[in-house]
Amino acid sequence: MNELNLTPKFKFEYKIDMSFINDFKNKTIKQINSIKIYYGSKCLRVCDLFKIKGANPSKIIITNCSTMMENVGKKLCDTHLTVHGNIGNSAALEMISGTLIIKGNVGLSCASGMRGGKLFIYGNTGDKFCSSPNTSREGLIDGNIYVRGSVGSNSIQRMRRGIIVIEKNIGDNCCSNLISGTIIVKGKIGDNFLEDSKRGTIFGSDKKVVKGYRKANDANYNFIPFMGKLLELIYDRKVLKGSSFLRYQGCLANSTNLTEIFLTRKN
Amino acid sequence: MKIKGIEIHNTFAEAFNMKAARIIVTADNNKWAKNACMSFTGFATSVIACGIEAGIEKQLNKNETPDGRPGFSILLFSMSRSQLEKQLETRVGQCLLTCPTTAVFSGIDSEDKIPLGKNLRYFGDGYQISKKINSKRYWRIPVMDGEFMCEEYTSRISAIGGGNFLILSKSRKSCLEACEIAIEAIKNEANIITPFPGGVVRSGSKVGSKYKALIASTNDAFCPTLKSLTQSKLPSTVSCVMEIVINGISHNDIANATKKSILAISNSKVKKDIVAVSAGNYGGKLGQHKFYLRKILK
Repeated sequence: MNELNLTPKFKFEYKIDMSFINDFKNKTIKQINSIKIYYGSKCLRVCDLFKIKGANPSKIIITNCSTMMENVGKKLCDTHLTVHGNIGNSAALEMISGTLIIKGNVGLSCASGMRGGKLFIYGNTGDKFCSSPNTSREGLIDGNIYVRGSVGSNSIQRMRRGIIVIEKNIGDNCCSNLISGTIIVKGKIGDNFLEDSKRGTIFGSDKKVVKGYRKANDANYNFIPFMGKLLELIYDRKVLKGSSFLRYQGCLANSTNLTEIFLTRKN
Repeated sequence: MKIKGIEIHNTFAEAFNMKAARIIVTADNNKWAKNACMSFTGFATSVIACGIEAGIEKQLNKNETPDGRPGFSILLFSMSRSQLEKQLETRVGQCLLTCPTTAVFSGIDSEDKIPLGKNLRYFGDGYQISKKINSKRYWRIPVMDGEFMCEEYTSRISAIGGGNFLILSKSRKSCLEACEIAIEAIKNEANIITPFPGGVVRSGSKVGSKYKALIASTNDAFCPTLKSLTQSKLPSTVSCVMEIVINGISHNDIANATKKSILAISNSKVKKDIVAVSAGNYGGKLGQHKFYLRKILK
């Protein structure tokens, strides 16, 4: 079956809650067209706002997106959603499973409370990326995230599980209260990184990342090449290049901090 | 029925329903992977007294293992789930965790999960680290050479244990030689193991004994030294019998391995000393699976 294509019929002036995409499941095109959504103060049908082509509601493509589109992929479950263009706030909010590919930038609070699935962002994300949503204390509960660009400030709060790969920079006050999970940051790191972290694994190349941490040892870590191999399968690209890392850990004075940091060794 | 001069007895091997698990053991090099596996599969010849039957299934090269290091896959068979769980945990803890540079992964997937590194992680005394990747959890346990990495669960599947055949030979030397040829032929065969030392058993058993405490005793009908005392099944020219026991995941796996082994003997120079090939059974009343030799070799 053809994937379902959604294209806006006009340039949106008001914000649209795009979480209605979750209602597409097991529905015919006729039923999808008649789903009602709010646009400004009006209640309209999907077909009034979007041109819809195709038939497969488990594989959706949205083209010509705008920052007026909010909650794209909210509570997304078992759906493959591709988004072309920049989108607004709260994308992948509490996403459950499936794949969300965003070919553009995203606004605030992206992937807040995400519980599973795969999220690929081929642009930058705004502040509060993977921050705690209103419904949960944890920013990222599980899932795999890839960000080709940079990530804003106050991001990744109380991450419980999952893997985040950031190709460029990360802002201030990020990765606070880290509980577990893996974060790979290839660019620069802002201030107050890893405040009050408990566990978790960080891979970084900016020396700032190890501030306040002690060099652990040069032991062999079999898991790094192993993990690199698995991540290559998930992200379809090499995200952990080489196996030459220096390991840093929290100091003895703060024995509750078991976070480990792997700093790329410069040759 | 004769295959290249070797008589195939019109009988069957009797085998049993079992539960199996597969693990993959890797290390920095083949030597240490093998050391770990030899230790792990030691004293695992028969469920009668060892708890499980285990053996190296095959050698894996770097691109066949999860962590890109050389390794081996091991199959474990047991009659009960609890015994399989217990033995797996004990052996991983005592033989793999202790062996330098090793790591252990699940080699099979099914709905029925059994712990692999789940409880072993407590050896890390709070410094253990878990990594959940693609819905599988791996544990990294700090040890003195770095880290021991193990998958949290492996799976349990239905399998068959006790497939066998007997080689009836004119001399001990030729019998052993034939056994070695047979084992060599199925050395790297997938889904099967030969759990006994070198794959060969010399002490085939029958059910029961004149001693009440024993559940099994020597298979006197196939003992050449008892030919004149018991109802022997051995022709007069036979002076040595050895058994090859094959455990496998499915009926076909065992049947194919049996066929391959017997054909390898029949194609070797030693065939002139082999009088017949037979099979061990308990009258067909105990086992759920029957492997008819003539049917397999057709």
